[in-house]
Amino acid sequence: MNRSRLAALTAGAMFLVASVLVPATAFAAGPTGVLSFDGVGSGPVAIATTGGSTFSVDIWAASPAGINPAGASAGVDYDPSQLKLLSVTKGADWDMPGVTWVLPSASDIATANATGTLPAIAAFFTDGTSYAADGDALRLAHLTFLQTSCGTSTISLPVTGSNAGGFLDGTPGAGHTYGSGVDATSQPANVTCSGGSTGGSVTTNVTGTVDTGFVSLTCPASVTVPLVRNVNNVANFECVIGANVTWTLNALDTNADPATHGYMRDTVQGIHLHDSAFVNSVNLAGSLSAQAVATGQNNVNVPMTFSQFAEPTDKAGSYGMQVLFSAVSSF
Amino acid sequence: MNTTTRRLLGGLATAAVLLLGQSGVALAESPSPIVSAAPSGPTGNEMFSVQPSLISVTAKPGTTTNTRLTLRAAAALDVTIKSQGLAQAPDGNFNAVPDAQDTSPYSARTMITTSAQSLSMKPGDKVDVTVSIAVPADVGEGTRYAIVTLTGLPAGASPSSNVGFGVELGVSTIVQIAGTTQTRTGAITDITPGQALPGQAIPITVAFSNTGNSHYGAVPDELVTTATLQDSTGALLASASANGNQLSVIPSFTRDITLPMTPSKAMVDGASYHVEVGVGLKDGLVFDRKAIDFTWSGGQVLSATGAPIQPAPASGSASNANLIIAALLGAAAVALLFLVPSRLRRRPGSADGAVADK
Repeated sequence: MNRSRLAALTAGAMFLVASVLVPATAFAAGPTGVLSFDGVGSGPVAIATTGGSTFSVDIWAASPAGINPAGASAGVDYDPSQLKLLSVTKGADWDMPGVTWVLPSASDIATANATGTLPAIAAFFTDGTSYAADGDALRLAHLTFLQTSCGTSTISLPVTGSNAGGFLDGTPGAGHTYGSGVDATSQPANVTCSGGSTGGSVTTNVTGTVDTGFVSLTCPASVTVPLVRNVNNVANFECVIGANVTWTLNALDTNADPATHGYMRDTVQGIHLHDSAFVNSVNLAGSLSAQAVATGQNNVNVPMTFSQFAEPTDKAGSYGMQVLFSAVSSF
Repeated sequence: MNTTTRRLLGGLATAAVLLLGQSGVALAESPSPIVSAAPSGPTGNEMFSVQPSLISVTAKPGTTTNTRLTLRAAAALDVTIKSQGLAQAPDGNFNAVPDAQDTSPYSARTMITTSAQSLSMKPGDKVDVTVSIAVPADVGEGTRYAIVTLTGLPAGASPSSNVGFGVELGVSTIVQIAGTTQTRTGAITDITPGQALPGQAIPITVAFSNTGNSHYGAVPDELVTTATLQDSTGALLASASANGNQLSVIPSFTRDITLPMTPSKAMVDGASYHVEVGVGLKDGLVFDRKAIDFTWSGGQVLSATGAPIQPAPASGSASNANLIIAALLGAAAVALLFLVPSRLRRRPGSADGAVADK
């Protein structure tokens, strides 16, 4: 079975749980939850808009007191001659670890903007044990509409029929069956539009946010250079720059003593190798300040080579060095 | 056409290249920059990261501004945090320098303090550090610069290793003094022709100093450097230009820009040559123009002396319209200099232009 087929079947299974099981049990007797646009559900919510403007609403799902929901779903009906649904995103409260979502695709939204019926949005636990707090109104989805034509219209959350919303019971203990349906009532939103531009002339505000930029650096904590005499000994490694800015990668021997800066030292004997050490083509003894090894923009894996020549005349000893790699943002 | 006229046209050609020469661009820094697609932010898997990567504030004298850095670590690190001087190497690259080496009058190092100077981070840690920028009342005009360094030394280096590595992140910091004049001026401090093997380009290194009190050079205030090479008769042999790439020039620092010049004919031993250089911004502002004369021998410069620049077709105060006119004149002159000799070569000894049979 290929992956796309498996994914399709998995998605299909989720859809069955969310959109078939819940509506099928919507007629079950017992306490009812409330689907609304304000989390209270005591009456219709009034929304005032202007033609050509956008507005957003949250769908709130409040399970009955004493019923811990294992899932919630809501379909949406609206007047497509006045409203155009632009986007549907996960509700902030139901966006929890372990929750599986059924969200409308772009195609579903396009169809809804023609028919006025958006298929059920659903969120539910699939582990058979998890549940949310009972009685709390939790945001299930966030919808953004464009007022394309002025007038009055209603956005409703159906609780009967093939697109009905509702809850899944996740309450632990006797008398409850995990995943069984829980009825819901709902309250609509009444949208009143006045003024603004509508019809063929719609103003779309385009906004964007530039992030703050970042820079990161990953290098090995250490490497071993085999100091074989009469050989330019090398250790290859890689430093990874993560950034969305321009940067310089510098290298510096942390030993600030001008007499031995850039040289591998045996600190016990107080001696250093005759030749200085290099990182790529940079002679670490070339400057007491950090020296540029690479420059670039954005994410880059920088191949590095630490090299050290050991002379036949170098004294035997244990030589070491600490190199500081510095990624500096530039402007 | 006499030498003076040809040199004047050569000078105009310098301006033309300065304004119009956006092709054949050389990178003005070393090592060569590496570029990839921009990520949206750190993944949290990096050994050490900081966000934001740059602090840029505008502050009034006598006020304190606070901003925040978010540090993330995916390894155990002992971190030290310092405000250091922001220095610029001649190749344009930025680095941090300690107190003793931070001699720039435009340093903001002493204005900056951080809420923590050292801390230990464990894998997965996310730490916020507040950076306070206290601008003295008598700070003066322009912009000040520093770098906040976050140095992480890994706790888990292998005991058998003989080369340990630390990682440091440098957050460049720009403090523009509100309500003061931001001066953009610059000067060419040196022009050095390098050695060249026969048939290879001659590298002309231009040392350019930012003598103003604020930075410029990166997009959108991109630095443009141009040069022309002429022989002793004033004939144009080569021209080249280099854009500033993505690095600004910080006030009081000097940046070397190398322009490879490929002469249209071989350089002659013992002959004298003339190089004119112009440095400006892409928007048409010209900072400086300078010239040198040198004698060439055996693939290298025997002697080089400063030479008078030809009457400038443009200056820092000139309008863009004047610069463009100068540029067009220069471009026409360049075309003329190339076309006329070739026509003359094709018609030796004939008044009517007929080629004589051998």
